[in-house]
Amino acid sequence: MEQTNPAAKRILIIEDDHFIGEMYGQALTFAGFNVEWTADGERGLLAAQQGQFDLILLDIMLPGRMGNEILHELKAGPHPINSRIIVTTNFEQDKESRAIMESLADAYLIKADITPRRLVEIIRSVLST
Amino acid sequence: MSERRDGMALPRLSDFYANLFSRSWLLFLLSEIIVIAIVVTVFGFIVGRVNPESAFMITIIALILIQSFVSYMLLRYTLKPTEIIMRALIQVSGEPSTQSPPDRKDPSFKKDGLDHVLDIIYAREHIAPSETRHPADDFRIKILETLPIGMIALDRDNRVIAKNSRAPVTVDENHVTEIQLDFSTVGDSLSEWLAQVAGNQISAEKVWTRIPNVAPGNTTERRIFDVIAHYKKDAPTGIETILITVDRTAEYADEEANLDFIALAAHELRGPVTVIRGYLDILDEQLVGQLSGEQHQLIDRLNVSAKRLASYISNILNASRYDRKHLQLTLKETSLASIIDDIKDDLELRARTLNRQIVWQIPANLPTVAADQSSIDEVISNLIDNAIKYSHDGGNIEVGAAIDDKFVAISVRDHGIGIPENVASGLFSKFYRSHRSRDAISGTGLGLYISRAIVESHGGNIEVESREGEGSLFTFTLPIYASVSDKLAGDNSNAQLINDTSQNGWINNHSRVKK
Repeated sequence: MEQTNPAAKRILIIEDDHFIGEMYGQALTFAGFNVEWTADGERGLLAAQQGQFDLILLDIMLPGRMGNEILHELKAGPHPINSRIIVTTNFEQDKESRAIMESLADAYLIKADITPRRLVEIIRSVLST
Repeated sequence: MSERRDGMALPRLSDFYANLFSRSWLLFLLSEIIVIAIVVTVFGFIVGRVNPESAFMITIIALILIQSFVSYMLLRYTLKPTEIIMRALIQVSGEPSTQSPPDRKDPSFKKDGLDHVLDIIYAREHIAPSETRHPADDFRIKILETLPIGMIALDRDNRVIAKNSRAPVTVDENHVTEIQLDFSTVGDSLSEWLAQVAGNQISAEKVWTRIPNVAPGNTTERRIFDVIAHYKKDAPTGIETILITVDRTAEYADEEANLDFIALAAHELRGPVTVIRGYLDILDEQLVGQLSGEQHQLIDRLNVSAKRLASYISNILNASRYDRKHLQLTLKETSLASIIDDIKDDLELRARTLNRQIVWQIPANLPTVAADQSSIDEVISNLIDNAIKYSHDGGNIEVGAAIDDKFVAISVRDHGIGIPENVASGLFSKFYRSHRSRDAISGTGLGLYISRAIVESHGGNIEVESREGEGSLFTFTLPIYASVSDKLAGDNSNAQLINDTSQNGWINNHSRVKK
């Protein structure tokens, strides 16, 4: 799902639900972003560290590596990255864990409660700040 | 004897025999002198005066001296067993002494039965090496260690002065003790309570339920306790506070597992809902202008249904949370208008799909409120959803707001089927649904239950006025931000707000029973 528009912002989707991954891919591509998608936590972490993405959509329940670990590694680890991160999950965490993730990420969204169009709006607003 | 003079020290065992001997010997001597004096007096009267006088006196003195020596020797002989017993007792007691212990090889001991007495004395030493502890103390300690509860005794400065092995208390290498209980989960800590009662109460008792121990980083080892604290000011024992901890991990485990199950089930349910909502949204966008009015209406209905499904899942999750303990919310300064802006489009779409009309009557000049926006979204959505469900085709739903003392009251009115008075009181209970509507209208029956939980967790309240056949008016209140800003803790948590709303007995009762 790669686009060739060199001026477009680059987004990495780390999402193990193929329907959701593809759906977000379509919606974001339609909205003019360059999108890459991986369904595995470990590979997602590597891609995020090396790919210099403008923004990362990060699920929590992932095979390979859990999203909260990935977020911690990317933002509070020895080599933090500059990419913006939006946590997109359907997993309801306890208040403490959620607060920690909210403090590290730019946004924390429950996927079932937002539509792709709303997601695009939020991504645009995060990238504009 | 010297130690008895101050009246405090115990008599020494080594003094016992010396005292007994000198007392006995003095009595012996006194009786001898009296006997001699009587004999001499009688003899003098019978025989007449004896010459020379000095020879008579010398005889008497010699008699007394001989008698004294004989009685001394006799006494030593008769009191010998006592002396031996006392020397044995001195040895067993560990009292420092220059006297040598009895010579067990002495054949006379066997003859007069002293051997047996000494056997008993020395055997006693092996039974109770520490002669200061009472057998009852051992028994009490055994009881405390056998009980399936933890006990912690604290002194006036809240230091641990005693504990049994089941108490969740750690002792480090410097002998510093620490109670390993995490009171932050219940809001008010042990030290807060102690500080509060110490100031103004003679005795007090408090029960905290479901207190986890402090197990950093490893929640699988986490244990859950019910804690009972008993406080007594200036207790003569020096123990001011006694904490009793009852390990309830096993009992609570079922509920914890249940919660995890609900969280996991919700996660699984939300996946497909996300996809349905998402593709409907994408279709909607891509098919703009290509659909007939009727087809558009179908898409709208799908949208609304998917959205409702998503909110039901949230309701279930919140209700299961709420059953555990009161909702912990983050209250921020926000305006009612901005809350409503967020959900307006969705709600209007829902109303339109079912041919209802929402009439917004929110005054522009309302003060800001302290609210957890997504939770209040849920309350307003639930109330409007209900109004849509229970009103008639083509009906109006009026949403209004007004200042009510230190609160902003938000109201949702419908002109639908209404609720009979006798069932209105149960309306906010779990899984409650009006008897008449049960078959006709779908729903989980959790909406009002969780709405009440959310509103009361804000320190507000929710009520209903209804007349059967005429419709219902639901009103809930939110605190005006300025009136509570000082009570919001540093993290904007609602903990302080809930503690203050004692008039809301429901939430207190609820959290006491189920927390």
